[in-house]
This record gives sequence, C-alpha cells and structure tokens, in this order.
Amino acid sequence: MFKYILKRIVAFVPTLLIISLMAFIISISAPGDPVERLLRAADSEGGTSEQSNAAAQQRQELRRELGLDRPVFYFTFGTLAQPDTLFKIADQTERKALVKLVNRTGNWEAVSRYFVSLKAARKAHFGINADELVKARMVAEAGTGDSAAMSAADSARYATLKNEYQEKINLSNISYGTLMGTDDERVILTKFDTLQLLYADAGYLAKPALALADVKSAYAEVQNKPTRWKSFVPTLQWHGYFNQYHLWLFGDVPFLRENPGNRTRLGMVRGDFGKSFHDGQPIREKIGQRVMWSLLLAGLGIFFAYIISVPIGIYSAYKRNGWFDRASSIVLFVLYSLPVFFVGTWLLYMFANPDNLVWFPESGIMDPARYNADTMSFFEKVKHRAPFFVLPVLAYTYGSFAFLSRIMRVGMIEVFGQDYIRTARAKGLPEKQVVLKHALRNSLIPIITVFADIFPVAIGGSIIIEMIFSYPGMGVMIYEAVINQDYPVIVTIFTILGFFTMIGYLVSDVLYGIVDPRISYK
Amino acid sequence: MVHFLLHLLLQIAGIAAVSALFGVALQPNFQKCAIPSWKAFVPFYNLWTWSSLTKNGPFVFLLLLWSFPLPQWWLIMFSFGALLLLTLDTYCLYHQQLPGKWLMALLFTAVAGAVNYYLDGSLLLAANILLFLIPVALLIYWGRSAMVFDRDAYLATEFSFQQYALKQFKRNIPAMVSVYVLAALVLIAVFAPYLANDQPLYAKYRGKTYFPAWTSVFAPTTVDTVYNAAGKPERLQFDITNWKALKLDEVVWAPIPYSPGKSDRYNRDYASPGGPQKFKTVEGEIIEAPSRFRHHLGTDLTGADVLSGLIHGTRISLTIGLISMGIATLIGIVLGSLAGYYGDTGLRTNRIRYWLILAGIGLFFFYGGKLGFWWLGLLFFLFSLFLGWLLSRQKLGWLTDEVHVPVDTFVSRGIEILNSLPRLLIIITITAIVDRSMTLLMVIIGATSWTGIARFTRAELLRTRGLEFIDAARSLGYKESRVIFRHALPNSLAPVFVAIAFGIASAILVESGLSFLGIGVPDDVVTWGQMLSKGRQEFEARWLVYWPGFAIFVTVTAYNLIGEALRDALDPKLKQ
Repeated sequence: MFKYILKRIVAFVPTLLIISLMAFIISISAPGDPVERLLRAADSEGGTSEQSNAAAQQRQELRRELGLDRPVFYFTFGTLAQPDTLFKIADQTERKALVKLVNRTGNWEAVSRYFVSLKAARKAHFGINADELVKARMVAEAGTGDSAAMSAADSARYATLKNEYQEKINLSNISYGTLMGTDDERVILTKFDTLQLLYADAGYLAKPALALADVKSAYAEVQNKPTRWKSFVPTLQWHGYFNQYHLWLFGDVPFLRENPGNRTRLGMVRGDFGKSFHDGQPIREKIGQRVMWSLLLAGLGIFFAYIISVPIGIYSAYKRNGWFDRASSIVLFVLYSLPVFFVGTWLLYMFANPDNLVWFPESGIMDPARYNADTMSFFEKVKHRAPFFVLPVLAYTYGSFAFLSRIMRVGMIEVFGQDYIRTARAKGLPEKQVVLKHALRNSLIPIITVFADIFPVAIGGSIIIEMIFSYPGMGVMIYEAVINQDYPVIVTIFTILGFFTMIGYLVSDVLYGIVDPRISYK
Repeated sequence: MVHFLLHLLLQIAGIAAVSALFGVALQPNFQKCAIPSWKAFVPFYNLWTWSSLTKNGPFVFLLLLWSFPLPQWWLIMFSFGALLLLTLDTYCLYHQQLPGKWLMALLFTAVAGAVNYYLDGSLLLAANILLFLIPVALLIYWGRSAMVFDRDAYLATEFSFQQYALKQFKRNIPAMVSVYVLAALVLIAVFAPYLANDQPLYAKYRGKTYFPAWTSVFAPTTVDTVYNAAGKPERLQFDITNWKALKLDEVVWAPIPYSPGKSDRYNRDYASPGGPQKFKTVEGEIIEAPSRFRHHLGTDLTGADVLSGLIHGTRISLTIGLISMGIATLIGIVLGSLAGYYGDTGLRTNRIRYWLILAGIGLFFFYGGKLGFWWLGLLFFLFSLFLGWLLSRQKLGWLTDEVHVPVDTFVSRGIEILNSLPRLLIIITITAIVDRSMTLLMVIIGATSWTGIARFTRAELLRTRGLEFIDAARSLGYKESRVIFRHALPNSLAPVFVAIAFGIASAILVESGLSFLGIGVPDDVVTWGQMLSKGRQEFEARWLVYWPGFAIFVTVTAYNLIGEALRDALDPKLKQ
C-alpha cells in the first residue's frame, strides 16, 4: 500500500510540472510590462519622474528582483541571425521589433548598430532645455531673457517660442521612441523624412540632427548588407538554469548572484510563490489567509452534500419507483439544472433582504462591529460566524445533491440485483443489515470515484458563489487576480489546485482499497 | 399597410416558389416511395419528409435550421452544401454508394460560400441560380431514372437500432416536451430580429416605404436620405434613427418594439412590469405608455427592455452551446478514438519516420509561425514526410527499428491535466489575455470541454477494437482510417451523444456564468447571465433576476432531459 502511494506521488510530479509550465506560459504571454504595473501599484501618483535617473534605477532593480532580466526558459528556439542575448532588452515592444528586424535582414551587427544609434539619438535630447534656449535667443533679440522685464509683445513671443521649441524637442524625442518599436520599413523611412524636415529649420536641435545622420547611415547598412539566409536556419539557444522559470520554480542559486549568499527567492518548491504584481505583497501570505476559508467552505459543502444525498440515494433505490423515488428525482433534477448564480442571487434576495426576510447576513464572514477575536471564546466565534455560512453553503451544496444521489441510486440498484444480496436475505438477516452493511459498502465505489473530481469543480463553482456572497476565499482572489492581470497569483493558484486535485485522486484510490478488499495495490 | 402586406406576400411567394421547385424536383421520388405527393410542395416539410428517408437527412435538416442565426453568406453556403448532400443521398438510395460524397458536398459548400462572399450584384444572382439549379436538376434526373423503391422495407431493414432507439426516445414524455421546447427556442432565436426590434418592420415616411428591421439584419448601417417639407435633406441611418420620434405615415412595429441593450430614457431606473411606464409621443409630450409600447417584463437601470434582451439572448446561448460543443466533439472524438483504438502500442512506425514527422511539424511552425512563411513551412513539412517515407523503406538498422507512438499516454495525460483544473478558472484566465469576442469564447469553451467526450470515446473504442467485425474489416485490407471512422467509431457513438447533450447544457451554464461575472462576451452583447448580474445590483428589480434565471433554467433543463432520455434510449442494457 505504502509503496503504491509513493509510486503515485512520484507520478504526480510530471503532471504538476506540466500544469505549472502551462500556467507559466499563460503568465508570460500576457500583455503589458509587470514592472510598470508594480511601480504603478507602489505609488498611485506615478508618471511624475518618468525619465529621471532614479526611476530608471528603481525599475532596473525591480526587474532584477523579479528575475525579468533573465531569459524566460531553459532554451529558446531562434534563428542563426538572432543573438542569444536578446532577452536583455527589457522593453517588450522594442524586443519584438528588433527580433522582426533581425529576421527580416539577417544582419545582427548592422541591426544592433542601428539600435545603439537610436539609443544615442534619444540620449542626445537630454541636455536640450527649451527654456534656456529661448532665453538665450531672447537675450540676443530683445536684449533681456527675463520675461518680467520684457515688453508685452516680446513676452507673448517668448511664450509662443517656448511652446514651439518644447513641441519640437518632444516630437523629435518621441519619434526615436517610435522608431525603436517598429520594424516596418515604410514607417521608418517616413519618420526619417519627418525628422529631417523638423531639423531643417531648428538649429538648436543640432545634436539630434547629427545623431539622425548616424541613425540613417546605420539603417542604410542594415538595408544594404542583408544576410538573409541566416534567418532561415533554425537554432536552439541554450540558456542554462539562469532563467525565469527556474527562478520561479527553484529560487535563485546564491553563488550566481552578484552578492553571494543572499537568496532573494526561494522558489515554488520551497513555498515561495513570489510577489503579487498588483499590490507587491508576498503571494504566500495572500493565499494563506484565504485558502483556509475556501477549504472550510468546500469541506462544509461536500460534507453536507454527501450526508444528505447518500441516504436519499439509498432510500430511493430501496423503494425503487415508489413515490419518494419519483418525487425526489424530479426535485433533484430541477435543482441540478438551476444555475448557481441564479440560486445565489435568489437566496440573497429572499433571505438577506430588508424587503423580504432578514434571516441571514448579506455578505462577508463576520460582523466587524460585534466580532472581537480577543475576548470571544471558540464557541462564541462559531456562533457568531455560523449565520454567515448558511447561504453560501446552501448555494454550494444544492447542485451536488442530484448528481451524487443519482450515482448512489444507480450503484445501489445494481448491487440489489446481485446474488449475494439475495443470499444475505435468504440467510434471514434483518433488512437493515442487508441494506446498510452488504449493499451500501459495495455501492460506495462510484461515489468515491466522484470524490477526486469534485475538488476542481468545487473551487470552480465557488468563484461565482464567493463573488455573490463576498466571501473572502480563493474564488474572489482568482477573479481579482484575473481582472488586475496579476499573473503570479494566477500561476500559483493553478499549481496549488493541480496539487490538491492530485491529492484528491490519491485519496480516492486509497479509499477504494479500504472499501473494496478485492482491489489490491501490490 | 398595403406595402407591408405586399412585402410579406413577396417573402411568402419566394419561399413558395422555391418549395414549388423542390416539389417538382422531389415529386418523382415521392411517388416512387409511395409518399403523398402534396407533401412535396409544403415548404420545409418536404425537405423534412425527404431527409427522414435518407441517411444523413436529419443531420442535413438540423444544419439548415442551425445556419439561420449565422451571417447571410454562411447561411447560403450551408444551405447549398446541405442541398447537394441531400441530392447525393438520393442517389445513394437508389444506386450504390457514391465515392467521396462528403468531399463533394464540402467542395460545393466551399464554392457556394466563396461565390456569396466575393461576388456582387447580378453576377451573384446568376451564380446562385446556377448553383441552386445543379442539385435540383440532379434530383429530378435521379428521381425519374430510379428503380422502384420500397420505402417500408428499406426503413425496416436499414435502421433497426436507430429506429428502436428513436421509439424508446419518443416514449419518454419529458424528453419529447424538451424537444418541442427547444424547437420553440430555436424558432425564437432564428426570428429574434423580427420579434424584438426598435426599428419598425414596415414604415412609410415622407412618401417613401422602408423595411428597416428586415434591412438592418444583414446590413446594419443602411443609410437613406429624405427631403423634408422645407426641402432640407434628412439623413436616416436605420440602426441609430429613433423611429419612434419620426412622424411616420404608416407603421408596423415588431411585436416587441425595443432592441436589446438600447436604453429608453423615459423608463430608466428599473421600470417595473406592472408599474407606471412613460412614453414620448411623436408630438413630444410624455404620457403613460400605451400597452403597445409597454416594457412587458420591465427594464434595467439604463431602461433597456428585459423581454427583448431575453429574446436576443436565446440566440447567444443556443449558438454558444452548439458551436462550442461542436468544437469539443470534434477534438474529443478524434483524440479519444485514436487513443482508444491504438492504445500505447497500436500505432507503429519507423523510428526515423517518427522523428522526421515530429521535425516536420517543428519546421512548419518555425517557418510559418516565427518567420511568417507558411508555404515554406508546408513545403518543409511535406518534404520531411516524403523523406520519412523514403527512408522507412531502407534498412538502416537502429534508425528504421519499429517504435510505438504512445498516443494513449499523451491523450490520457492531457485529459488528466485539463481535468485537474477548474474549467471556469482556465476559461477566465485565457479570456483575460485575449480580446473579448464571441468566436474566441466559443473556441475556448470548446477547447476546454472535450475531455468528457474523449474519455467516453476512448473507453468505447477500447471495448470495440477487440470485437470480431473490426478484425473482419482489417482482414479485408481496409485502410486504418476507414476501419476507425467507418467501422469502429459509428458503433461506439452512443455514449458520446449523451455527453454532447449534457455538454451543451454545461457550456450554456459556463457562458452565462462568465457573463454574470462580466468577463465572457463583449459588453455590448446582451446575454442572460449579464442581465442576471444587473439584477444582483438592485434587488428591487426582481424581474431582472427571475426571467433570465428562468430562461437559463428552461434551456439547461431541456438539454439535460434530452441527455437523460438519450442515455436511456441508447443503453443496450435496458433493451428488452
């Protein structure tokens, strides 16, 4: 038995790995830059220090901390034209444009020179200050650079000039940004022409104009010296274990970091799930608070579902085609077809609505005004919380009634037809013993099979229930994570759910062995 | 009013003309089969009668019915394909099996689709008439030339199990009621734009006659210019013009004169079905709404009509249920039958060939997906297939050893992985990455719900592959694909039908659940789940909870009951 369990656990590993890989692929193909999202979450004002050096530094630091400065996976499929260090380019759109450009021309040296020249052109804008330039010009023209001392006409001219200068500088700067994010030849050439025109009557943009010449010559080289064949040769680029997936799964290796011995991430296998992109909290803490409530809801729901539906199934199989059988099958069928979000909403409307009945509280799991964790005893806490759980558990359970009791009924009917039941009756055993001891045990097998599958269904169904009743479980968290594109949380939940389901399979296998001694795991 | 009646008459005359053509075409066939020949002239009924005789008949008829909610050229495409299939079936009925029947029908469908998509004007009309006349002429020809056909004997011998199952199914009263309910829902879905529309079915404005509801179904942004009394041009864009504010000379409104999702500013803030409702007359005064313009099931926050939303929501729910389950069935049956039939050791090939095929697939995606040269990728793929075939005929020692392709392991692992995650979670996560659209939603639901069907098919084929008739088919030297799809699969489909019926129900539930959370379909599409979620925000508006909930409940129950009845009817254990 023990050996069998061990074997099963070993077999889980590849499945779990594939699930985590699947979730990871989803998470990295999501649009947007996680660093920007995290920074935006950190200070909601944002945008004030877009270009400042400190912000860039912070971004870089964050990128390293999240492991985004590494390649995504152990290997990538590329072309011979593509270098294996492309992952070092942080910006997604820039990287995509660069890959396309390289694959179109095949000449990485020329393309990289072009890219470097574009960066240099952007940098050429750093020293240019519209205000100072205009002041200098006004000093030359009107004799003074101080707007307060100018005549009204000069002052107006000062303002328009300043606007014009600023606009042109911005336009020039932004144009290079656009160039970095595109590989379309027409767009590139058009931009070159626009920039040329822009610089023609703006002497103060001499530095960028000089840079433009560089950019143009670099691009000409890209065009003129293509080595197209290189992009048609597929290559496998091996990055080793210094990659994002490895970091996420196993954490970082201390001696590989710049400051040895300092481990920032422990990895999924050691229980470190990383940080949420939305609020920067460690996911482990975030999930830890919620998983208990979710498990409690699922546990209560499954418990009540089994406790009610198993007797119904037994009785309706025992009195087959009797009035109870017919009535219960109709009622349960209707319940089975009712959508959970309708029932949840209806329960709220009926039993937690000041216009109808206020038997139960509307949402949440406690009343902060009356709840006090320190002074209340355990039973008082349970008594306080119980009403909050009635409606969610009801909404959670009703659908499984029909499902489970039907399986139970079919199983029982099959068993009642067996010879050993007739034998048991012929022996003169009391009916109670025949049904509850001989028949029940054997008809439990199908219902155990269901147990393994019920867990993913339970969590999936609970997303809607938790949303309706504002229950602070994993379901709401999943929803919020998806809405906020908080991918580390989603990946974590995927993996944890996969893990739980595997355990469900294992438990149901073990229960099989207990219920049916004919099954052996040797 | 005269114009409107004329228009209706014209429509009816069109249908009658087409069915008269069908009548002429089918009449000789009907005579041979001793079916009363008046049946050949009743619109739709003639097709149904004839299709019930032929092998793919019911399928063809369903296809025709189901293509109604689709875009126009799809509809025409499917109708033509179905018509040709019907014709070819007629041929098969009298003569021997026609080779490549499905292929021909598919080709014809594609041609009809392309014709209707690309052609225009009189050329389109001519092409369509030609396309239509081909199968009709064939029908007439085969009908006249055929030998005398004994219908009863044919039905008695050919379809014994199907007939038996059908009889069993018909004895199940709840299931039959569900079938009729579903048929009614289909009709509502098909005619939704004419049942609930804020544009009149017919209107006469400044001497001109319009059919806005009809026109706008196929071309929503139809524009016309009229000149008012002052001689000033006035632009009518059918979908945004408020027809209720125009002083129309004559008008026939749709039964529910409101469109889904369009706000009614005089009945905002949850106008109740029984309570006071306002209406703005053409003269501009606001009065208590006359019963013709009442919102019979109330409105939501923006004043959108609930009944109209329900009617149009039927379309979305039925389409999503059917198409997503169609995708799931396709994936599930193919993967399940491969896994069940071959197992882990059944599919054998040379090592070098196996590798080359895998490499070919890789190269296809490398050149096609990464570099954008799909033709080059295809070339490489075909080349590696060819190379594999060539090398597998040589003796190269280890390289040409026989290897097993573990199909079963792959498929079973895939099922296990998909099953271990909640379907709703996977769908929610993917919908967050991609753009919101109906098509994508259908694909996503389909791609995540094939596991049940694959499991059933696999189990059935595991059982079937050991039976004698499969051995017989193989020993006759049939191709593997023919043995699987013509011999093994049709004898294992019974549980799959059951799974499909339940699957449609659950797909509808998933879709409405997603809409309830506000993530599934685009915001401007009105669905039942979305309406229900609005009801949750304001409990006063209980009509927003009850009616959509009732609609979902009825549809899901109908599918579930049908599934249940199918299970009973197709279960060989119950056969007595």
